[in-house]
Amino acid sequence: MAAGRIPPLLRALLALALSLLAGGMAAAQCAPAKGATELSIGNFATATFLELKTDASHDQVDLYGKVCVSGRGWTLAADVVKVAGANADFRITAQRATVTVRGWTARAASLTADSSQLTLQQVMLTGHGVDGRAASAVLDLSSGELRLGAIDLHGAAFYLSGDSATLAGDQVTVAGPGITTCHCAGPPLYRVSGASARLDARAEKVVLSDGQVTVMGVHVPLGTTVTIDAQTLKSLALPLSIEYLPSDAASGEAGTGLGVILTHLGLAPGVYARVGATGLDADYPLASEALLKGQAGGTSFTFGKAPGGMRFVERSDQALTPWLDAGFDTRVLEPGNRDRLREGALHARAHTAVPALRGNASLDAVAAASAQSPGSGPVAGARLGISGSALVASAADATWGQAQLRVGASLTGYPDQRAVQWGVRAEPSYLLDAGPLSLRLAYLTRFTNSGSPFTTSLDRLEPAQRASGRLSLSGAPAPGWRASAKVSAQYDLVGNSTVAAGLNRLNVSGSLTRSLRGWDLTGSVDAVLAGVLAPNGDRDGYLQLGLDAHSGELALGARARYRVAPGPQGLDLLQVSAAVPLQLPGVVVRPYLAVDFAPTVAGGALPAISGHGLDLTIPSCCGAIKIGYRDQDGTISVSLALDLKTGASSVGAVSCPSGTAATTIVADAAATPPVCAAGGAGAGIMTGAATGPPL
Amino acid sequence: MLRALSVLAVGGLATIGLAGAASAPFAALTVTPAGSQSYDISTGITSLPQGGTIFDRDTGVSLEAKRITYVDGSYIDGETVTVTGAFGTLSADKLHIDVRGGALIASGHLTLTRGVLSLSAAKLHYDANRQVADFTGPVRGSSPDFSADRLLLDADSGNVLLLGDYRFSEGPFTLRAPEGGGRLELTLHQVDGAPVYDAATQIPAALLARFAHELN
Repeated sequence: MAAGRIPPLLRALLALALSLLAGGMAAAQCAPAKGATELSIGNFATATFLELKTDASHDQVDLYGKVCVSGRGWTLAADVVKVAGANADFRITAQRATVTVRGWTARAASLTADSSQLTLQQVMLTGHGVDGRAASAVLDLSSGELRLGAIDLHGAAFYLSGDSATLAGDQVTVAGPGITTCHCAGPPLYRVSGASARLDARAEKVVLSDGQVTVMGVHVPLGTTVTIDAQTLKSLALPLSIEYLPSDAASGEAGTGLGVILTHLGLAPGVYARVGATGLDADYPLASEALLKGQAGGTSFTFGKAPGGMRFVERSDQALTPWLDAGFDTRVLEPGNRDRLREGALHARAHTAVPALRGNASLDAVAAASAQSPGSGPVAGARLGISGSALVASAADATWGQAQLRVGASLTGYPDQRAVQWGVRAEPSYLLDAGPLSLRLAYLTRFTNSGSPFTTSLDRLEPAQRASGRLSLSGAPAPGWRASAKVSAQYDLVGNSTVAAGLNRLNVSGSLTRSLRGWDLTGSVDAVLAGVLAPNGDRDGYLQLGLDAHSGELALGARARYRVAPGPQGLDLLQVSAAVPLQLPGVVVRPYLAVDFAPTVAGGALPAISGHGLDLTIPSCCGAIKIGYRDQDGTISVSLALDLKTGASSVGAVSCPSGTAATTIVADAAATPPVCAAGGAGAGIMTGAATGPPL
Repeated sequence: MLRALSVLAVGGLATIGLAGAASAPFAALTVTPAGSQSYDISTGITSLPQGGTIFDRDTGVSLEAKRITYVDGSYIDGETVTVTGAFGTLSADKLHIDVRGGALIASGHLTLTRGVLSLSAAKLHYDANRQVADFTGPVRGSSPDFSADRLLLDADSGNVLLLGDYRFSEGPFTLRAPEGGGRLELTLHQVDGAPVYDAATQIPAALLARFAHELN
């Protein structure tokens, strides 16, 4: 999802809110009929109509013939309107009345009104591309507040239901909201719901209280209060994850293979379970996972059996003052898990913002009893530490960029081992985003005595002197053309247990895309040069050229790679690939096949299949369900996604290689299929009118 | 119609009579001068410079004026007049009664009070034969609160037809004529013993027929 873009569902909701608000300023008027008589009803309203008849014996006035009653911000149209009461206690009634208010046109089976409010029953609503109904609607004439009862609205792309909705000022509050894009008979496939939702049109956000996503009957809690905007939608996740976690030969961490995990099985408010099975493929042992997770106030916990072993993690944080937090952690990660840790810790943090320097500062203290079982043997004892960190930055400037400096220091004592670890860290950096140019330069320096008896996964520090940089350019050099180029590098002056000293990364890549007659033709070059310029046996070094052609779901590609390191030098990839969609009744099948001709060119061997995969797209009333797998050069990925708008975006899950995000809700209309990203998952909710049979 | 006017002066009291026409309006008038009375034998005009009263025995119309001139069997002119009859109590600066035509024309500071109806107008033409009063404007009513370019009053039933650019107010309600003018019927009813008007924009055919002469 492009930064700053508003997801379509949110956009639709905001349009709804804006229409509600804008309508208050300029309610559509029902035009007086030609030759209409006018009746002023105090300060309440003015009515125009063709005919009038009063009945003094019943204190009633009947208006009929193109009756149009106009009040402050609202109008009422009906064939017949009856006004009872000859004084301020008058009461208006109408059947089959049409009321316009705050951008809505409400057609009510019946209407009653007095000097304080309009009450509509069995209301059909339309306005600004939104249609729907409400059991009732009450317009408070003194406050201007509009209260809708039992709303059920739908636009071109979504359904919004609620027990009630209130419009006041620039805030629209929906009680018991439910949001879905499924236009189905029967229960929708997924639904975002909550105790209440507040649509803030001015801030372009929706604040959902006690929200949850329900997918196929499984509830995913969204927290006490969730602000839904372009960024926070990324935190939403489907409850179903299909994972493939291979073993990592470099770190020695065992993989779990193919797994299907129900990640958020709601059990009670704030408590959910994560259950599933891993090792479903033949290469890995079959294992189960059953974790209970919960959160209440500032305390969260995880307990249960993970593939690696038993796990108990508890963390409690309390804000004692606006600048001081404190709490305690308990972590039990049994052998079989990479951490192999048992620990209880008390911690406190004092923190403050430093606006003058556009930064912040914090001071942390920890007192822990820790036990760890690394390969070198068990170690246990107390940890008493104190650390501080600060960030200062220059003013962000579009021309000159921004300079930042992060500094930190820590001192930890290990009484049982009679050891002390100290560390001092500084990381100046420079960032510039100027049009198509993006530049980041950083230098990390860390001095430490590496005195911790524990491993780096807990608190052991290692010295570092690392310079890194990234330069990227992207833009459209001409209509129909897109180009991008990127250079990134990392140089470590000192080595440690995870990196060797020297040039560890120098990557140069570029691409040029031409959009022509429904096709996107892309030529690309990727040069990984660290292994060429500074070979050490592990570093990659190759040059790869690629040519890709996309037209909708049809994808063709060719790729050639000349490898310098590691291993023997020569052409190690000459691949052509194709993914061709085939429309079958009720499903679109897209097989993928990649064939590597490098063995043929190099040694006269038969071409090798370097990749294969299959995607199934099943249309539904919510969008398309996409299921697929891909094996590319032995790296397997599987995906399960819900494309809420055909050909646009998806809500779904994708499995990624170890260390990257595995589950996503992706929603950007222009997004490519779910992608793996280190450290997080891009996500969102997409709206879109979908056709097809209900799920 | 009045065919002859006989004058009998008895101590200042004159009786204007018309034999054989007792059923016609203004046909049996009794004139009571408030002061002197002169008769111009050449023109037949009788003048009451100090005014007086005229009473029509048949219709019950009573006229009191500060100055009266009349020609027996032809017309009566009055100044600063108060007329009480079936149409209500009328005050006007000037009054002309066409005895032969059975018409009453009044103008100048013209007001009418009739039951709950109280209005002022620029001019009144009252057809005593048909008992239709035609007020022309601007017509303003204080009870009920209304205004109109023209008002037709059925002196028999008390029903009213507002014409032209009218306005009618009662309580919080104010009714205004459509652009270009319209018609509003005010029908007199008794509700709990009190006379009230009902309003309607759709005019019954009977009322249109009643006012056909004035509307055509």
